[in-house]
Amino acid sequence: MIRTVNITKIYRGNVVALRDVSIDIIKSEFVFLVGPSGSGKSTMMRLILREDQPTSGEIYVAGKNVAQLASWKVPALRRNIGCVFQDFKLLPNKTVFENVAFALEVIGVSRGVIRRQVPEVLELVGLGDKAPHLPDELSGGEQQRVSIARAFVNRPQILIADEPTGNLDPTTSIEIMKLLDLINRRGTTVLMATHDHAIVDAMRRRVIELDKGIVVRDQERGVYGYGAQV
Amino acid sequence: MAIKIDYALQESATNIRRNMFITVAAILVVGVSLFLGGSALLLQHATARASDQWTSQVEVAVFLTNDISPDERTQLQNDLTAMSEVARVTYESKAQAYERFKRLFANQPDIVNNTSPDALPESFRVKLKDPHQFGVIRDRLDGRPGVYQIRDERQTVHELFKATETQRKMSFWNAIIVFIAATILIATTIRMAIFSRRKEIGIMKLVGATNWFVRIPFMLEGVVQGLIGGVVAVCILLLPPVRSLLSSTGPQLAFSQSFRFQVTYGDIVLYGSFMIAAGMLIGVLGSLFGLRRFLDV
Repeated sequence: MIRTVNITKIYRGNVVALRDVSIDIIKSEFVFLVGPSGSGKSTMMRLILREDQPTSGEIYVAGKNVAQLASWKVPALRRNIGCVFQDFKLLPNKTVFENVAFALEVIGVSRGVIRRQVPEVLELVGLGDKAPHLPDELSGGEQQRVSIARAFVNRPQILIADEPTGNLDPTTSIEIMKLLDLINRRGTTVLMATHDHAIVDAMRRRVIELDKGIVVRDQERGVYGYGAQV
Repeated sequence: MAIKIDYALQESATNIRRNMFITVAAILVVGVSLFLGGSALLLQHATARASDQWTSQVEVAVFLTNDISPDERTQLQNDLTAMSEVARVTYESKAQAYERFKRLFANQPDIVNNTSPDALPESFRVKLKDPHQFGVIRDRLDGRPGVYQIRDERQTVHELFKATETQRKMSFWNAIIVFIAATILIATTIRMAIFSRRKEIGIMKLVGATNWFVRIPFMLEGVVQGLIGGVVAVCILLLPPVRSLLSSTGPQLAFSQSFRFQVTYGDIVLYGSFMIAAGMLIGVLGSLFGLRRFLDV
């Protein structure tokens, strides 16, 4: 589902963010991307979303070579990828319902479909009763669930989460992880960048560790622990 | 993907409301620039038309000396009529010349009072088939007894128009500069609107909105601003005092009462539609410039 072949990303001023990274994530997999700040996790996410292009190498997302994708095809690519961020990225002046509906509106989904799908996905993330509220009126965990609902509402093949629990307390984090696990079990490939030891250790899923732009570990059912290679 | 029209309209309406102040500024700048540019073009158009009309009216004047004998005069008239280049010859007596003179300077009685009817020469008014043939006629008549002076009155007209040309050219370049300023201002308005919504746009792009989906409401906003600006400009031009002021800046011909230089409502309607179209063009260009940098998410 996500495959990179020897990608290298060098930013201006010879800053090497990724060096010769090759990973292969198959459909319906749940993968943690771990590593210290500056290890290249965010760059990896950006490249998959085609927010940026690699200096060299190839990236295949859902069968398409993203590195060479024409810019007008990028929107179509992104419709296959749901995104969840540490800071939720919700629109403060729109209600929970509208925030989720927004993701469907911008891709031209009809009103009828929006009215059916949004409550359904809000129910899935456990916020069926929060639809008319503004994000400000919700707790952090609830806001993150709204953003997950938005990412998942059009049933993407891939869900990318960049530190989704970074701003949340451990209990709330576990709820978010349960939700991501639920989405994963429905067939969506999940790639999650995180710093959270406890979560990675508890989930026992595949772990890819980056350090200074190099893959230092790629392990089925791994734990966090830097340098704790098996 | 079809972009929903109601969505685009609603978005641009919200933007215009949110940035009312700068929107009004942009509309005014577009209005003023189009007014300046439009009036320059209008004057050019009206001048060209007046020039055509006057040139077709104006004749070659063959002034006669005071001591010309009636025989010489008849002979001269016959010769003129016989020339193949000549379309029509009319005789103007001293009395007729004085009548005309009085009419032309009706608002300057001093000049009329100080001129005796006898002071004006009698003349033949010669209408040429081709006005460019003036040289031929002059060469043939020059030095002939009884002929005092031969004058191509078209020349007078041309000099008159030349005098106003520099002025018109300047106002045209002024208008171009203001046109550019208007485009930049619209770009700024759009950019501000985008800036206040960049978070929203970022999310739109991340969930897979196409560039056009993001762009169209902003472009619509620019077009609406340009359109209103154009309408404002046309409205200013249609004000009666403005129209007469414009008409008065054009060249006026003392000897041609029947063709007053005028900017007509027809001219304004014709150029007004151009101006409104230009306003919309400014809007599109401005919003495209304003948008360019923000869309590479």
